[in-house]
Amino acid sequence: MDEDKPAVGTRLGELLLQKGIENAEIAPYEARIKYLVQEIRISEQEKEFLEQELSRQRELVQNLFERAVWELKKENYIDAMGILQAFLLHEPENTKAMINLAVAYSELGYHDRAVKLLQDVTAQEPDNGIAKRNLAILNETI
Amino acid sequence: MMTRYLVFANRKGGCGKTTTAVNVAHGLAMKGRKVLLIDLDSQAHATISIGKPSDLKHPGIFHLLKEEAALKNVIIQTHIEGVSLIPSSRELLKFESEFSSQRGSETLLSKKLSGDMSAFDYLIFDPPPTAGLLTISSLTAAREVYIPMQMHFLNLEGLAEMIRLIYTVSAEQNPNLRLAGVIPTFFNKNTRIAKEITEDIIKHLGEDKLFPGIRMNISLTEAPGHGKTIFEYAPGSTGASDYMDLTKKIDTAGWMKPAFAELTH
Ligand SMILES: Nc1ncnc2c1ncn2[C@@H]1O[C@H](COP(=O)(O)OP(=O)(O)OP(=O)(O)O)[C@@H](O)[C@H]1O
Ligand SMILES: [Mg+2]
Repeated sequence: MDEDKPAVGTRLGELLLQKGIENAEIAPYEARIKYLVQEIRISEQEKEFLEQELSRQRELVQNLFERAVWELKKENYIDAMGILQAFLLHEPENTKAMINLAVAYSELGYHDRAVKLLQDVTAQEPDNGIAKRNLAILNETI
Repeated sequence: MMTRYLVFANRKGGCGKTTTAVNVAHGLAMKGRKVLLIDLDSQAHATISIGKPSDLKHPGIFHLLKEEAALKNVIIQTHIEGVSLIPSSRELLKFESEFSSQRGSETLLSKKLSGDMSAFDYLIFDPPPTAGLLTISSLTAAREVYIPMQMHFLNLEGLAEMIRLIYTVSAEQNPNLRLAGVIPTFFNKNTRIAKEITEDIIKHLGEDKLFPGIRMNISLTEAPGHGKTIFEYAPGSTGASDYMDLTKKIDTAGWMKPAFAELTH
């Protein structure tokens, strides 16, 4: 082959190299892998963010429960009621919160609501001693 | 036969994309294949070359992409048996300007064509001479890219850029896309520069990527003005024989394995 002076100045190989393509055969594989690695990184970041967000939400909900207990102890029944109602939106099956809300209800004079709530608890957990005892007390005070 | 999705693409204008799309479509039909030609250029040269003047008013690719018409209502049977057409029109400019900045628009076309295409052996896209939304859309919908290219030194940069674009689209949008080949157009194999570029393509892309060249032929220039393909207008011309050779090569190249394992997209 004549290696004299090529008529073409810049050759295809150099031009490809300038575009980051060293070997045209394997370049598409490299490009795809690079893209997938990037996608994995983005997915991992998103997963991490969502996990943090989730534990923050859980903490907030847990804080709600503790704040409600605190308000109950301070006999702020209205505040306790609001907080427990909010908490139960997140965890509608949480029987501890239901029992505490029943306390707030009965202290605020909502006798029927308190009874209904405690009945819901015993329907869910027939062996829940606290709920049964509180129900008995409520029924005595009619 | 599994439907093949071809695109003749190059950012460079006037390199023979439309001439190749139209004549390969007819060539394949002459071999008994069913072809759907999809005009993606607002200049509508493919529509003008193979269709009737009234096709420019027919609901076409613009209406399909804008969800104003269903696929079956935009497909026209051309005067050539075996060749159907989705026409284009100037309105397509509006699509490009309206959708270019919207994320994911480049997949609209491939989604529109994702249904049962088994009525066709070939889908052939004719994109505009840009690296814009419509060209990217065609690369996202196609599986085999052929780059028609005049063998000039200045076009090598464009070729390298097209290869990079193909690899990017295949990495990010369409793992089934592969560079199938380069088609020398306005080809004169006796010039030194053509020889060197040909060698360069073989060296860097592989021998199988170099497809039969199309010589400069006046009948090819004249045929579209008569609304005819080269096989109708000048069946005895070098243009007709070059395009028949190319057609055979493409048709027998068969369905080659995609760059990656089959993935849905
Ligand atoms: N081999 C050839 N010999 C002679 N004339 C040709 C040949 N190939 C194409 N032409 C003519 O050159 C012009 C440009 O070709 P064509 O329209 O196919 O290019 P294109 O790449 O589709 O252009 P655009 O970028 O504008 O879409 C047309 O007038 C066409 O008839
Ligand atoms: Mg064109």
